[in-house]
Amino acid sequence: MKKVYSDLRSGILLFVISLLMYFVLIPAQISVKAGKNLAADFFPKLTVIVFGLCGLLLAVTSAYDLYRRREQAAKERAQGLWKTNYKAFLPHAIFLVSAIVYLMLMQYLGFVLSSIPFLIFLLWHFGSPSWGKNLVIAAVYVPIVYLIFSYGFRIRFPMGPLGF
Amino acid sequence: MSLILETLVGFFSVQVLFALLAGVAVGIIGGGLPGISPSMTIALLLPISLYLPTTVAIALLMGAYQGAMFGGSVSAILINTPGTASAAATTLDGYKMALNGQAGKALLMALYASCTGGIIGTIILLAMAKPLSAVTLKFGPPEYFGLMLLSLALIAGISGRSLLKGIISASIGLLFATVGMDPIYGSKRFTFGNINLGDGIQTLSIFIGLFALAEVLSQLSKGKADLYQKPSTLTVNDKLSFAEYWSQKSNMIISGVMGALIGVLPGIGGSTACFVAYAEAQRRSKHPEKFGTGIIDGVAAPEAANNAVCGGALVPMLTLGIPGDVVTAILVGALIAHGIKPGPLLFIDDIGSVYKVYIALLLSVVGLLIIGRLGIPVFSKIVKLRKAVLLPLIFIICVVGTYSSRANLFDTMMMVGFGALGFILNKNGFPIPPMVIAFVIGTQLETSLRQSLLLSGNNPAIFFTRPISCVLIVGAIVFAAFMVRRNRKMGNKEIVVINDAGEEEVV
Repeated sequence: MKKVYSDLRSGILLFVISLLMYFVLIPAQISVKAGKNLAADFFPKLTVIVFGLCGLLLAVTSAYDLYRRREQAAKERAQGLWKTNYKAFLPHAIFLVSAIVYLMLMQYLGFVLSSIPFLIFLLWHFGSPSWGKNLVIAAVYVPIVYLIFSYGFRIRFPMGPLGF
Repeated sequence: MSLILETLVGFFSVQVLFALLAGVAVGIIGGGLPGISPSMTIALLLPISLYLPTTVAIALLMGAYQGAMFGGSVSAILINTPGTASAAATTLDGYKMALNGQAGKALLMALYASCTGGIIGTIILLAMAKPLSAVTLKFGPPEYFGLMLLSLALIAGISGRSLLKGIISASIGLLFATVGMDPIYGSKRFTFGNINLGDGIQTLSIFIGLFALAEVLSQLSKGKADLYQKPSTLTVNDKLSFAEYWSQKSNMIISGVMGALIGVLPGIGGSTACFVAYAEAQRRSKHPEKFGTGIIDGVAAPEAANNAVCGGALVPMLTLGIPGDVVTAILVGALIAHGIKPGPLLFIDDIGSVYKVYIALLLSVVGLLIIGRLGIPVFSKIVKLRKAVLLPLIFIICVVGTYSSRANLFDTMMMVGFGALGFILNKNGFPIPPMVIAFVIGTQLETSLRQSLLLSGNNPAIFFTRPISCVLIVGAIVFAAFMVRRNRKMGNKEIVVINDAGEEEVV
């Protein structure tokens, strides 16, 4: 039943997003000259309508399913079985935030100087407990990747204060 | 004939052969590591292939494609965990053979069956592609629209348990495809004033984000202890005799043909082919009760089928420009980046490129035989790598790979965003393949729809007055109705899933 409730939330969210897209985002982001047949906003609007209708249908079918099995649903809700364990997503949030910070720092510190400490942290975050081992892995792996891509494939990485 | 020979000679250079063998090796490693899919492996090789000459790039990617399909069997046999969905059926007998002290025999059977299936798939490709391209030359915009709609319906319906979620996923992909310039009038759409979005969303950001990074995030859900655990593997010292291999010839041929034909159908890939071939081999067998106890028939059938899928999936990709599965969706991106536009005109304007793909696919089977034979002892050790170490290393490659195409950190930020999106969608049961394929064909789908309506003066009847287009669109509707009926039947059954806390839950 938790999955059905999740579908209900997803369906409502998707329908609301489709309304925002149709009435706000598309008019703001796509300029259309008057008199143009099948203009630039035709296909996005059509897709958003399909998207919104499917979201609404998902919400309606889930709501109906919950209504049909309302006794079981009420029981599970009272037991707190529908609560999402947001703490379970903390590692993912940490990973994503640290990845964004890493990418922002890369343009100032350069690829090698930003990647080595980030990789050490990431190895620990994924469960490799030894900091010493992580340091060795990062110190070997990052320069190898840098050399292969910069000299082998002529990629110009962001330069840091040390020139790499 | 001279063009074929000329193309073939072009493959016999050190650079091309090295790329082919390297692609096979990377593919086997990528396919062999659980959690690293063929699509993820190819997506990570894509940025490298952009810097290589066309022939070298095609050799690299075809080698990786074949290698990944075989690679899944390595972990399936040694640690009872299929490296790819296409190797799921191989675990049934392969792991049992390993437990019976026949791990080496099982791996060699998987390798030789994969090579045999790969050859059969290439033959099917050679037999079907050119005639089909001649038929598709008669396609106009309405036919293309109908075909792409059918493909999306097939992929949306098969990719997950819910057609509705598949359609939502596909429509998200279509919306992403509209970012950038309008293909008819050239207006900017959804660029938010950002110059980086002027040409649309970078393909690598989507592929690597949705396949590689989303999978890395999913693996993170398992917890540090699980990720740091080292899988134990079995020794691989025993051999397979030629008589044992030859005893499987009819099994491999039939499974290979089935796999190739299944591969031709958009949306149906190796995972379906391996189980269909396994079930059919068991049905034909004189001793069906022995399947599942550890016999080579149970390894030969799925492995021949899943490698034959490679050739089959290339048929709609080359002839119509419509990817048959997510791997060929990425290959379409790679070919376009090299100036090769898949579609029926490819067989007229650039037949040389078609021959390159054929030859690369055939030579990749040879490469698979060489690398697989030599590398089995090595690959069996690599499978033991801890995910806690492997996944962060993969993320660095994701960053470098995405950055490399335009030397632009904006693309890597987008990749992280798509990774997060892919993870959230996966968690809520929305399949990713329809989104990716819709993104790849989105511009063509829109163009064919608008061109058809412009031709007919905004009259949608054009799609139903032309026979081929009508058949295809009705086919898409019938298929959707069939999937809705199937989902209703399955909706009455209880399903056990693993929730966020890692506990079993009945839904």
